[in-house]
Amino acid sequence: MTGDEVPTSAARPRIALLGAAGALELAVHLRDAGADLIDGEPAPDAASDHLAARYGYRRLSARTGDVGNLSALTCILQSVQTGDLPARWIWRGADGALRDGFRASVDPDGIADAAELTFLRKAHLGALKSVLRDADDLILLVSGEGCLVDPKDATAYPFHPAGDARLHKGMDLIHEYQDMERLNADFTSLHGLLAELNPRLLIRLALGPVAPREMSADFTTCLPALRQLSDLRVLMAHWASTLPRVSYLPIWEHCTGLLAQTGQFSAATGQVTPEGGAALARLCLGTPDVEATDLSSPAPEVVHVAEDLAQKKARRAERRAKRAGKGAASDKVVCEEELLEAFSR
Amino acid sequence: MTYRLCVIGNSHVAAFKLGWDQLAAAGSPVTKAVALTFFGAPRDGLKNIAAENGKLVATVESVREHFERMSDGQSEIDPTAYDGILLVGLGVSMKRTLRLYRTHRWFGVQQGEGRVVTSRAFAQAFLAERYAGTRLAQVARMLSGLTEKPVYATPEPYWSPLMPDHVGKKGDFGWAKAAAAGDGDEIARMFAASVSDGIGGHATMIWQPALTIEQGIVTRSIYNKGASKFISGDGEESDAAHMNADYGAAWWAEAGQVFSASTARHPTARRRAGKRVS
Repeated sequence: MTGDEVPTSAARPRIALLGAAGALELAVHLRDAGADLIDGEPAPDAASDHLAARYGYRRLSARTGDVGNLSALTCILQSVQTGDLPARWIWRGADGALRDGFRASVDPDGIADAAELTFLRKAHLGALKSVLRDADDLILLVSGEGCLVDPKDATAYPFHPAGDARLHKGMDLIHEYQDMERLNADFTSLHGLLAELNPRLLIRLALGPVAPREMSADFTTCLPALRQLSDLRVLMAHWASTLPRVSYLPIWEHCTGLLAQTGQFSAATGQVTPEGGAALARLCLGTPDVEATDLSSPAPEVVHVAEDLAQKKARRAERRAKRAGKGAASDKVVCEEELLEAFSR
Repeated sequence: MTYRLCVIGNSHVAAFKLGWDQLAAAGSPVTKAVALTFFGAPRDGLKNIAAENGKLVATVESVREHFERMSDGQSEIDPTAYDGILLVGLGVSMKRTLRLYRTHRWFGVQQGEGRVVTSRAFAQAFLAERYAGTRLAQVARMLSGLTEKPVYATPEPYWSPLMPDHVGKKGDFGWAKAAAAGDGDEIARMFAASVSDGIGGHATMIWQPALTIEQGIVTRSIYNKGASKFISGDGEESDAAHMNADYGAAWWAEAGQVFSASTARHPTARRRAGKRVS
């Protein structure tokens, strides 16, 4: 490709981002790099980033909240596929508000009634299904975090970010980590479900950041998460080499390796600098050679796409301004005359 | 004792002035109990004001001229000279709620298969954020830094169903379609809740009188008749946004009781006056 060529949208893969993004803000970096990142549940354009983040928008390709646990992801995908909901997915918190047990964080103040919560869950599952059907690539960030298992039906819920038992008051949920066999069984199920939904989907697995709640200074406390993370690292390599349409994306290795060494990633906060984020986006969008060797030079495809999007954005802004100008002229007459006439009497 | 009310707004103030004149001509008691002083500027002209020495002053000549014309010669607003302040319109319009309704759907809304579903809580929080960014909210915040006097606010009237030819074309915010879908009441509820959240901390809302509304979000056409284009009725019938003297009169007849000498004196006045006018 020469520098003058602009790739068509058909040449760009449609990317879905799911799992546990933590503080990486990978969605932001991918969009900034010009990736065709699917947003199946977009916030209104005018919503502030702060408000959107508070309600779980713009972070992933659907409003799932961070779900880095394979068992929980599998349960969610089962619901996407069948439309069935487990018996106790509606949690009542100590504040009296109801919460979707699979994404307790996305409506931070809860929902007043079960009918609305069910309406939202069904719509969310439909949106998630569309995202997965429309995507060419799925970047799935899986982390070492445990899940909350309902002993009554073995449903695995994400260990919600607040980690706050008051959100599911009175439920006897068990905080569990999975061993290698269980992780393998979960991913085999997940892989099958995804292949059924979208046979052409390329699954790009990555280790997601370990949530700070899992990382206590006390080694014995964080051991289960570390063990699961270690198992996942080994298994992901195995799955990438043995399962069709599965590859491995070393996002976490680059964060904790090169980016940490150059001060572009902070292990304490789990955040990357804008430059670090751009490097991660290039890793996700670039060629395998770029991934392996050179994080500092931009992949040409990404740059051209970004320029194309910037040009489109500028053209849209110009058209908007032109339209506003036309409207303003006629509005000016109406509004001014209203006042002049009323106050000339 | 006469209640001195300062009315500040944009072009929607016109209907309030004409309605007041109509009531005064008919000898309505409310016009004897309350004395009005108007200030305003068309469109978003009040972006050109600033707080200086305890007063709101125009920062451009055109707005100063409007102030003088509307207030019989006063070029600045001194909040201490009044018992209360009423803000009219200034960007607080149902149009913002309708814009969200066109792209998103929340529980309780009938229409909108295929639109992005969001919780009522998010819809309300998003709209509150939008209404908190309006000129009305900005002026209310400026006033709350200048005076302890009660600040009231009323939104721009809902559009009238004047424009059947505009449905689906430029300038159609979807009033008719939403009303026809039976979503008017839910949209109106969302509008009221989010405006209260976005502005309620700085002003007490007084809502459009129920008798002027049909289908939840539409102003009855009798309150728009003759207001189109120019208030006298000249020009084409193409302005569904501005209301006539009858609308202003209906508003004052219903809400005028809020402004009495007693509410000016009692600290609980704001809370009592905050009930929905119906």
